[in-house]
Amino acid sequence: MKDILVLGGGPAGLTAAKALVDMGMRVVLVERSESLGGMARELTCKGLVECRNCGVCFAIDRAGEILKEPAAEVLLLSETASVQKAEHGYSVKIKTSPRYVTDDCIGCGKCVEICPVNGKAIFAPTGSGQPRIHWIDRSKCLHFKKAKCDKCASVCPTKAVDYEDRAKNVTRDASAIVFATGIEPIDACEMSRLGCGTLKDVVSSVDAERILNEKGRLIRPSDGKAPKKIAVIQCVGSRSVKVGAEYCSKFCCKYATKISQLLLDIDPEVSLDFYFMDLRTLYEPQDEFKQWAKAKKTVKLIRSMPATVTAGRDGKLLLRSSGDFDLEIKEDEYDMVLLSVGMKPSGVTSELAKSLGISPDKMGFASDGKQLEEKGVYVCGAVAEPMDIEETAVRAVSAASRVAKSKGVST
Amino acid sequence: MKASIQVVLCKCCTEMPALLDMAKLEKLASDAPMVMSVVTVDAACDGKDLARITSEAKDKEVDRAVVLACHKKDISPALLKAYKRAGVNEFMVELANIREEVVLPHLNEPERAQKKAEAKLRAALNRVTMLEPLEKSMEPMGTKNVVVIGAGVSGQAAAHAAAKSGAHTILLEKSGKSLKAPGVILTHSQVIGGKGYGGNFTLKIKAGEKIEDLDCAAIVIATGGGWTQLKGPLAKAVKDAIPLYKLNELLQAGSVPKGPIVVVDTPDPAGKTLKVQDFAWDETLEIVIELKKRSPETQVFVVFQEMRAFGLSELAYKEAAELGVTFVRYDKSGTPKVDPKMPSKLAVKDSSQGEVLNLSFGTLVFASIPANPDNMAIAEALKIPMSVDGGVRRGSVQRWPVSTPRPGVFVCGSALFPKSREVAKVEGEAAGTMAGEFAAKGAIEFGGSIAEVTSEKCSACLTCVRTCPYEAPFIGTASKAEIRKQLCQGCGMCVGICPSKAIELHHYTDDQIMEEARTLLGGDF
Repeated sequence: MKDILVLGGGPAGLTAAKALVDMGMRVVLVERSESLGGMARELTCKGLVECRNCGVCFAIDRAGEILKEPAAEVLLLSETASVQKAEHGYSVKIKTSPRYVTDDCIGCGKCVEICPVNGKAIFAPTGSGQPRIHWIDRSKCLHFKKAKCDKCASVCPTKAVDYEDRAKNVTRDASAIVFATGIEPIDACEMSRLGCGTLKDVVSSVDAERILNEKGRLIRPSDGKAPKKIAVIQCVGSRSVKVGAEYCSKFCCKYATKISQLLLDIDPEVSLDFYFMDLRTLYEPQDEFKQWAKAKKTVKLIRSMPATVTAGRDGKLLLRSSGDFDLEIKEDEYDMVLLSVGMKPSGVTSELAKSLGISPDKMGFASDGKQLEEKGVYVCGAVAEPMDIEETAVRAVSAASRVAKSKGVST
Repeated sequence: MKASIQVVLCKCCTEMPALLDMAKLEKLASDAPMVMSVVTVDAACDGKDLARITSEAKDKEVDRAVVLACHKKDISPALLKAYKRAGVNEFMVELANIREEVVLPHLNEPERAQKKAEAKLRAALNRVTMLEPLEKSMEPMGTKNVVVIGAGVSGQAAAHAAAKSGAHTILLEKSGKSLKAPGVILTHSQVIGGKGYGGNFTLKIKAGEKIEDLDCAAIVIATGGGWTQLKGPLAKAVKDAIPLYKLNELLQAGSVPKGPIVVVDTPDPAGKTLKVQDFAWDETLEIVIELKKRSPETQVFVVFQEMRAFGLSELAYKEAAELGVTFVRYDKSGTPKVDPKMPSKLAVKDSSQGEVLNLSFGTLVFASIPANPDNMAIAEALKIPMSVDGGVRRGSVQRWPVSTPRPGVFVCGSALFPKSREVAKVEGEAAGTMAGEFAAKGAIEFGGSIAEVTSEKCSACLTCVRTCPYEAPFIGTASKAEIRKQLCQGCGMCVGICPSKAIELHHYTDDQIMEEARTLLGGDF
């Protein structure tokens, strides 16, 4: 039996791959970066006291499972070089860049400590990405320049650094292709009026999650102190005709409300103002967030899009906004401002997508038309339209079942 | 008691040694009675370290182990497998989470962290000596049937997908509509009861006038939404309001109802709980746009609490606004009202301006897909929890999507909460696939950490029978309570509530818990 090629190792690709393997198929998963997990790698678990159903661990768990799966071949640091139509499917050429670190790596981090390069040339996998094996960026590493530095190799306790690692070109025959290249966050710095990029303590929610994931608590990037008064601003880069995207990114309200709840769980004394246009919390039939906010004395929901964030006194941030109903302009001081950024599809405009017949629609998403599926190309995940991890998982299973159907495989 | 214990200290790469004195912990472990081996590893989640743990455990012939590492979920499956290879029962391995529970919360207080870690180690050592080996058992499934309840959009998709996974599908439909789907189709049929557990369910079906039993391995709930009438004060004032789907049908048939048209988001805006999700926005917006395109001169108002135009529906929201649809947001302070004396005027307070608007209407439309009333009976029969608004409650996202808290029962479409047709179809496919795969496993695993009744102590008071959310306890032939092992999920509710203290939960017996608690509270930290 031929393999199914899965492009992308994020929540969509992983779930589809696992579902396909469970249905008795062989899978080749191609991931561009050094580890599996996609966007979910840098997101944090939002349940301190109880599970808040954010779905991050779901993606990370699938990554762990796929790596142990004998029927799944995982190619990391790999790009699909070309796709050719072949008999009953596609012939795919994949280029795998060298990692320079073998499976013997135990992730102790000694190599990163000793690396003399400014900004480091050897890295741990991003966030909670799987597998936990380090990797070397050849373009930065001094070993491949005149210096012939081998500090990381000498300090490695398991001798896992292998400078002789070479790029590989492999060819795989695929009977179907699952296109799940996923999304990337919209750069919050596009909204310069909100201070992102110029003010250190204005961070995008993705950065905030990264901090929470690493440290277990939120700290101000400027002085490392815990913020006591936080503003969360929704729809940054989404629902905007001027910057970013015109559509609603769908999951921002979900994650932002859950981060807010997490912040209050970590420190009940934090006071938090939540600025929003429409509260579109997914999967909350009774507006639980509104009820939760009502019960907390320090949380305020404000229906407003703030105008500016500027530097205030004593390292604080000054936020100008108009009130709920009136036009009166208010100024509030905050220790930290979180911008809930939206997302945009990734990899839709690539040559590869073009050769598969995938073309971006007017919002830049990959249209998952029926004609594509007849040709054996299945688009799944947030690359097709905005969705959260949970919906991604549902759609990936459904796409996998359609793949199985067309291949006539039954378990 | 004779035991030989292995203690594993995981460094978690560099995190633990950075804060804790590992040598002290090692010393504490090796000085403890019955400890045969102490292993310090860099990362207990890593293959090589696991292999080392296995070989050490084999060499020293240990029969139980204490592992100080991170969260159970991160490490448990691989670690338990490693111990299985060494012949150690999985219930004889005690995990102490010192990463999330000690290191992370006490990052700036190394002394407290050290004390807490030592206390946790002592407690785990004491507890592990009291553990007993437990075995899980397998039971074959009696059938490969997958029952799909409801033959709407999601139900039909589920049946097709399940059939593709090799299951025998049985599609139940309440109405008599003619259907095309694989497997058996039972129209005019309803679920009125059920018993059993994932893999071996027996459903009581009312098909026409007959009542029969139906064996199945997995169940997909696809009951969809139920359309209702207007409710509350609005219903009294307006008699001829139509639901959104009726408006769609009229449009499809080529007619446009009398304008101006006012669309209200819920059938009972004055109700105590404002169910904002009772509104599948993507479809509502599509229908409103269609209406405006057919008849541009008709005035259209959409009265809502929260505009949930998710994702690309935002574009439809914009398009509708550009076509001239007026959107009016209200909140609890000014819900839509109709004065019975003037039955063609809707008064609503626009919350963005704070003014009361009087909208005269020719047709009042309510857009809502409240949960299907049948859900209650099905949830009762299958013992699955409901959400507050009458939908089926989905399982945790950590599990697979479309699953419920009960193994073998899957749910899709508007049975959870209102969805558009496209999403319902996708969910149906996913649920059908999962159900088909579940049925294809052919056997179920049960046992391990479950409750057991000491029949001498039981007074057959029925408290456990009434308490158990899974219907596991029953009064057996000896007039004493017994636990059906396949149904018990090990939640411990019966154990806590039993007035005679006759029930014990294996792996969490009173002695084990008390011993652990005593050691933990004995130290000062």
